[in-house]
Amino acid sequence: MSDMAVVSSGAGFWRRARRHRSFVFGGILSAVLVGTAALSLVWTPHSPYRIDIPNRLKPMSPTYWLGTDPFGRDVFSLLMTGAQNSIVVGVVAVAIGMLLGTALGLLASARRGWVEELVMRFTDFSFAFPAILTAIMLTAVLGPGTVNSIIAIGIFNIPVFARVARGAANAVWSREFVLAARACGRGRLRITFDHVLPNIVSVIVVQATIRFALAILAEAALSYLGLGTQPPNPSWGRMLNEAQTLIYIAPQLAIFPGIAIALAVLGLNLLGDGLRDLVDPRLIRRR
Amino acid sequence: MAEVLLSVRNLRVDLPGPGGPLPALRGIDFEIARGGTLGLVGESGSGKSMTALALMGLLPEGAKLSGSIRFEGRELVGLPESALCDLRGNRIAMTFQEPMTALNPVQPIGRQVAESMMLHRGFSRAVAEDEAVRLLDRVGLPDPRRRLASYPYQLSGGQRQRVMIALALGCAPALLIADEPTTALDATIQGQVLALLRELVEERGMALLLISHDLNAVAAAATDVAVMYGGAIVERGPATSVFRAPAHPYAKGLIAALPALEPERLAGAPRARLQAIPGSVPDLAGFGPGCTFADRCAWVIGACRAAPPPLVPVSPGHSAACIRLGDLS
Repeated sequence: MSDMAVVSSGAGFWRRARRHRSFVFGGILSAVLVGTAALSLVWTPHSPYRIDIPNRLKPMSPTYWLGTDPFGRDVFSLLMTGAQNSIVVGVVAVAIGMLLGTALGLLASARRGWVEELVMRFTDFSFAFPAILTAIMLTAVLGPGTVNSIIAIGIFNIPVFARVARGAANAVWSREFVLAARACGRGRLRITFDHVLPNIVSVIVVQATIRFALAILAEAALSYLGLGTQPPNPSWGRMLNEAQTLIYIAPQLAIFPGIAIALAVLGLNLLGDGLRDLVDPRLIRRR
Repeated sequence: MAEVLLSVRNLRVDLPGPGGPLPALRGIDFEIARGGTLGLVGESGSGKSMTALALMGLLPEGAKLSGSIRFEGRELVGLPESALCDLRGNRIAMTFQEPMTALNPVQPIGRQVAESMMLHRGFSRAVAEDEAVRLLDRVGLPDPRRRLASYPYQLSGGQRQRVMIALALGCAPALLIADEPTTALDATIQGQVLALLRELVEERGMALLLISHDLNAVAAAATDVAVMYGGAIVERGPATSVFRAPAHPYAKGLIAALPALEPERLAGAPRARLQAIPGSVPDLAGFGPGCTFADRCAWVIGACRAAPPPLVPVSPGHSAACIRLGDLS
């Protein structure tokens, strides 16, 4: 149960959080990711859009920290700006999935019966397709681009949140205080918003953090396939794609975006795992 | 006899089971007068809580309800959900056994108490909060104004039960159903909560249905008692009469099983053996067509298992459902 989740936020939460290694490490990595993206809005060592053919494929140097790509663009600046792209796609896609999915899950849990059956069969149906294939199919239909890749990733997040929300909400619905709220004459809609939603927020937040990492990965995959962010906007996935043909000549072009993706996903996953440990009262008691 | 507030006739509840419907309540009858107090006693699984949920219209999904519940002259069985929502918390309120789980852990108690007044009486938040402070003060919560912002986990068990009672009192209900209000509490707090319930009944003219397996609690607060076993009422009558002269074998056993505080024992005298009713309550599928207590009864005869025994009067207002009453006394 998540009943201590919100209750334990506050002083106790941060005291436990500081001791939780993966939470701290994940938090630092995520903060670096967000900080880099924010910084790139106002400053990058070089313009990530300026093509400078004479300086193409330079190795690492004090001027070009991580070298330059075949068009002479600074790899470090591209990575910084690419972080923006990953974050925007991740945030918006997860927000879409979270809002619609949680709403569906809450609806299923509040109405039960055929509504629940319908929602759950819909999630089963969408889970039958591998997520990334669904996204490729959707971008193929809608056309490549950042917005369409956001929509595609958002759509396959809906059933995930619907399931998580329904499961957690069903557990809340079976609790006595919901019966007590019903005994006070409250309707299902009010109970959903006053009693069920606040009690499943922590579960949803944890899920959102983990899904955020997967959305970044999915965006990179789509961009790698040329279905996501289009040039000249920098994207980690497309940087990998462009580095592919030069892997023997300039391996750093593939290595650094790869490291960036890996660190971002690792950081967000650790943060999500840490959050789950910290807000789950069963695990708190065990320690 | 005062005006009848609640009259329950032949109330049956069947729960869905793997091998067909299971009878959780087998046609019970009772009534509560306006301002009266009925104690409903029985072991766990005897149908006490099921009775309460049936009255509130909050039976688990798939449960079948039949019979009649007349409340303030209105038939509640078959009433649509929206009409029941208007009644619940407003005319009939209920408190629950475990106040830790019956209060929302992530909402301050002030809001929880104020909410039902805002819902049923159309109070603004400010008015409802003032009223909540008054109610919390009335139920004996210290420093109620400051406590409005407290979360349930910051209160003790007794305080939480008081909050539950305040919450139930919000709309001045005509009937309060208190489901095991003292079970989760320490003995000293139990007495305080029962005294509070009794005071509230007197000062508000509210009727109380007190559900408890604790005979002492019921004896302390109820004027009338109904003893339940296996989804049936086996004995009912004025509390004094039932406790002093129980007629049904089950009620006799229940009262004999109460451990008494024996001053002699403290002085070193040998301890009297505790009496127990042999066997345990079978599950719902295990009851035959006859008397539900037949399998554990020392006086059982063949006829007991044939048909459910009717309630027969033993003294004014006091009746018991046993066909062998004549042979027992």
